[in-house]
Amino acid sequence: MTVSEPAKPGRYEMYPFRFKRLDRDTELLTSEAGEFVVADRGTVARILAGDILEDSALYRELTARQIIYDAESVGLLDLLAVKIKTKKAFLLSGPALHIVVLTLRCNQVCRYCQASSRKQDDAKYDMSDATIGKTVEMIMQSRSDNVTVEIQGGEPLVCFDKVRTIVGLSRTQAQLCSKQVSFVLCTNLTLATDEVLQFCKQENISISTSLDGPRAIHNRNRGAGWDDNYGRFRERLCRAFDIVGSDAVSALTTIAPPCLDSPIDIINEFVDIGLKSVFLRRVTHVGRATCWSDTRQAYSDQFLKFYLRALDYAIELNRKGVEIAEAYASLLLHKMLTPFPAGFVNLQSPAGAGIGVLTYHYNGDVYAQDEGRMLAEMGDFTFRLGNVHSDSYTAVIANPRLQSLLRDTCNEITPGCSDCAYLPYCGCDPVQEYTSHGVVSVSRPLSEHCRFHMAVFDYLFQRYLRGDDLTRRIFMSWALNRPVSLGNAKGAGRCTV
Amino acid sequence: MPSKSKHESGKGPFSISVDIEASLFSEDAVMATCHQFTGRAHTRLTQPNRRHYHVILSAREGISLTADAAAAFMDALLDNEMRTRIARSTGAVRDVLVQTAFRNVTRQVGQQATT
Repeated sequence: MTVSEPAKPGRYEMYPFRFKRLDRDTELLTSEAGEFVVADRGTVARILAGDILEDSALYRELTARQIIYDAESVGLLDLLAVKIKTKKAFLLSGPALHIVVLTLRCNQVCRYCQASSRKQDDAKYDMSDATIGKTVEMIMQSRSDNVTVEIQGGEPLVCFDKVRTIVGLSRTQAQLCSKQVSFVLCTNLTLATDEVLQFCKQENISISTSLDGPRAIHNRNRGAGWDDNYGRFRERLCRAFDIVGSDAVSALTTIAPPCLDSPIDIINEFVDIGLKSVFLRRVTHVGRATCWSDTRQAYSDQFLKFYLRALDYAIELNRKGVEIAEAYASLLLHKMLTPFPAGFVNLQSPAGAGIGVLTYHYNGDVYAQDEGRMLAEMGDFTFRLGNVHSDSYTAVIANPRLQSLLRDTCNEITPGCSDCAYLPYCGCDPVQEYTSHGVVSVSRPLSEHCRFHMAVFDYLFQRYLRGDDLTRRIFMSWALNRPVSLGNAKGAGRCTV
Repeated sequence: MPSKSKHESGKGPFSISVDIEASLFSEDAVMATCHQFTGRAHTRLTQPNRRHYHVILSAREGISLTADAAAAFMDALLDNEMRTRIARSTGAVRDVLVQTAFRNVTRQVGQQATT
């Protein structure tokens, strides 16, 4: 009988990595590219002490996730660099999302409206044809080969002729510039006639709409428009499913303070209506929503509770075979469980404002992000980068305000973020921070964005790591925007328990 | 004992002080931990002598420091000391990684700037 050599500590070096204690017994270690390992408490101290045994499963896992390297794996540094570049791909392409505010007019008066919408008959708040032309010109100067034009308002269908104009012009110009262009129409759907829906089908336009919950909640929030806004919405949504196709229609819900005790009702409504995803959006305290600013801190706390309850319920429904994803959690899971960025401006570092998205207001002003133009309606032009009539695309992108915004939203150099284990998955919401504290770069321990995301990442990691195979498959389906697979989720993720 | 803490108020934990051995913990780790606590407390950091740091945490308005705040501070300090050591050991590798990941991009930007 031979006795093998006792295992010896491996000779290894560390790559940069971050860690946090998940609970009393476990530590989460995340690599520079966002791959992660969950290990027993004390693992980080053992890594530092050079005490990880070479023939252990942990050693192999830490090497595979590029937390440590040895003589055999030192050549894989380039691979890690490629992974980092992939995760930061949004930095390289130029703004791909172009939000065009065709009008501020709206046929409804939603109590949480952030956009300072105007009366339906006040046509001076429409974008002129000349401004549409200049806007499309600027959009086509983006370095991105694939651009999305998101048509917003107000309610853009109060000026459907302008929707036709910008779609037609964008298609022509995109062809000349050899770009691919896609369209999203943000609408409350109540003015979406069959003619409008046929146009969307013909032009391959996706529809992004909003539903506040069951009839009582929806009608209470909407204020004006139809006697039964909810009934009208449902009827038009069904037509949109029929004509445009259910895959081309998505919906979000803005959680106004009076709705904070209804997470289950709201999700049930989305399921009942046949939607496969719900985006639970918190109120941004601009526009009409400033009426709740005094209770902002309490709202923040309550929204977090609401959100986690909603996630619990959505997971429970999926476990029973009902397919419903929460869209924001899906974005977070996409970042956690895949090598790719999420394409969501507030989940990027630096924030995607100006580099991933530009917003063109009805009067030609260009803003770094959508909420920037909403703030401008309140007289604050902090996020204004220029105007399509007086500034070139280069001048907009080179605006010192944008440079400053990028610096202030770069988590890699922000105290509290730079060594956070969740840095590879997180981002920054400059407008939310600005409206809370008057500055973009807020000390992280005071940041609402930080507090919310720390709690949600904790929740998602705990559920993913402690959950059974079905829970993991549900999360993977959310991350990949696909139906829940019947296979085993092990190996599909990027983690070790 | 490298560190100690005490409640300075008889009525409740409005203020907590922590003494830290400078030979065990780096200034960076102490600063990072103080920063981490700024959401809960105002922080006063002094170095009364070369061997010690002295931290006073005073509860922010509307927030009371829990009895285990000093222990939580020390836990966080330990974590931050490890983070500091990781950063010290891996800073050069991180620089190489970032340069490698974005070297072509830097060239492109440079070329655009010159043309």
